[in-house]
Amino acid sequence: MKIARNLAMMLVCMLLGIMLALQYRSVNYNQSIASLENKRLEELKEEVIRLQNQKNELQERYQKLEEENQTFARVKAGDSEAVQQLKNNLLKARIFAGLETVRGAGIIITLDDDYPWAVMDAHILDVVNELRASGAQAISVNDERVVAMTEIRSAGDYIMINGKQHKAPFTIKAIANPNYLERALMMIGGVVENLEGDGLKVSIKKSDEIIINKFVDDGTSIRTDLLTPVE
Amino acid sequence: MNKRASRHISFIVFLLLGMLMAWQLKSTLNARRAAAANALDANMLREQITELQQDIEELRAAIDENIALQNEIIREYIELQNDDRMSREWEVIKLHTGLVGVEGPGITITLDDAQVREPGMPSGFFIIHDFDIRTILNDLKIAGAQAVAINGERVVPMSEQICAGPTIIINGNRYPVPYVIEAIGDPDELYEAINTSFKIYELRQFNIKVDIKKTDKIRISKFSGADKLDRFISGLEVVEK
Repeated sequence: MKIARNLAMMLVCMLLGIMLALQYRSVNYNQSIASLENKRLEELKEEVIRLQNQKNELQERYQKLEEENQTFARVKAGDSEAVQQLKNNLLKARIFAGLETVRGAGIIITLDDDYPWAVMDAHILDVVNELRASGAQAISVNDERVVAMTEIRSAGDYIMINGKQHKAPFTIKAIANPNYLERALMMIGGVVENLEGDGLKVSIKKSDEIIINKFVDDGTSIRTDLLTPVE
Repeated sequence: MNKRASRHISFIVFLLLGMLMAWQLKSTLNARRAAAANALDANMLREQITELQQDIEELRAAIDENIALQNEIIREYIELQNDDRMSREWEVIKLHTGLVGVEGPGITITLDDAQVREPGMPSGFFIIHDFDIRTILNDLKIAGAQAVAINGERVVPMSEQICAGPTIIINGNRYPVPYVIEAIGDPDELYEAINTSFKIYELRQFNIKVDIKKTDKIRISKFSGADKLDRFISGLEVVEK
């Protein structure tokens, strides 16, 4: 009888112990689920905010375009305001394409050989890319305007740019949004160190007024014969 | 003593048991309630996301339509001017500079980081860098490419390709591997130039996956900033010459 009672007691205690362990795990699990759900919820909320911003921006662009197009529609009728608007848009596209000579604040970088070290295509490509990355809006290398398909390639003693031969020293001019100019200079600083490490003579000058020539289209360096427009 | 003691013990045991049950019940109920509430919120958010995505799609389509309309009006206007130089320049602006989508023959290059890395070599050798992309892009231009896109981003005059951790930024947008470079031009010339280029040879040496395909028809979409050019020319003032 006594043994039976002790046995029963032991059983109950064991059960209690097992339950306690299970319980502990279950509570922990419940908590982790809750925090996971919360985290996913946070992510979803962030996504909503991001999309909302994107939508607002697009909405604005759409409205601006709609307004422009209402004016545009009057071009055919010869409305002078409409024609002016069209010319404005055309000019913007021309500037963007590099078909206009432009002026602005920017930087001038010169690269020169320092025998036996010579300026290679990769050096110029690096500088040009860095300038683009730091917000340059127009770039020229030895007055050769950099356009969409401008290639830069070493060929013997020369470097070919827009299909024309150029020799050192190279003058790279860039107009950057004044707000980004300081950053541009800083970023270029890193590239300059690399160039000097390669033994080149490098100088950088900041200027409030730089003039960058337009791209001269003689019909040979820009070809579009294989391109069919898709609206 | 025995009877009493065991009764006390039983009392405590059952008290504990009761407390445990209450605790458990509370935790489970709480979790359920939280999960249910979260699920409801999550569903609502998901719905909102789908809706927003639809709106964005529609807006994009509407914007594209408007740009096409403008281009059409500009084209008609230029035709009326009867100015060959102007017409040619408009072609350059649209096709070469990337303000409209284009179609044509060319090649597609797909690059992906190496799966197998040789031990003892710096891991940087087995991934694709921004300068690799730049070199390939320049090689394509040299070989006469007329339009190029990297992961769908049209290459325009001021397109940058810079490294940002494991991704590359092009036209201000970030892209991870694999990198897909599409180029319109003479497919044979482009293929030959790229396939035998030093850069591709080098990448293959390090197990980088390189796939080059000739295609009859590649479609490259217009520059993603085509309708907000102001942003890209704000610091430029035209000099009359």
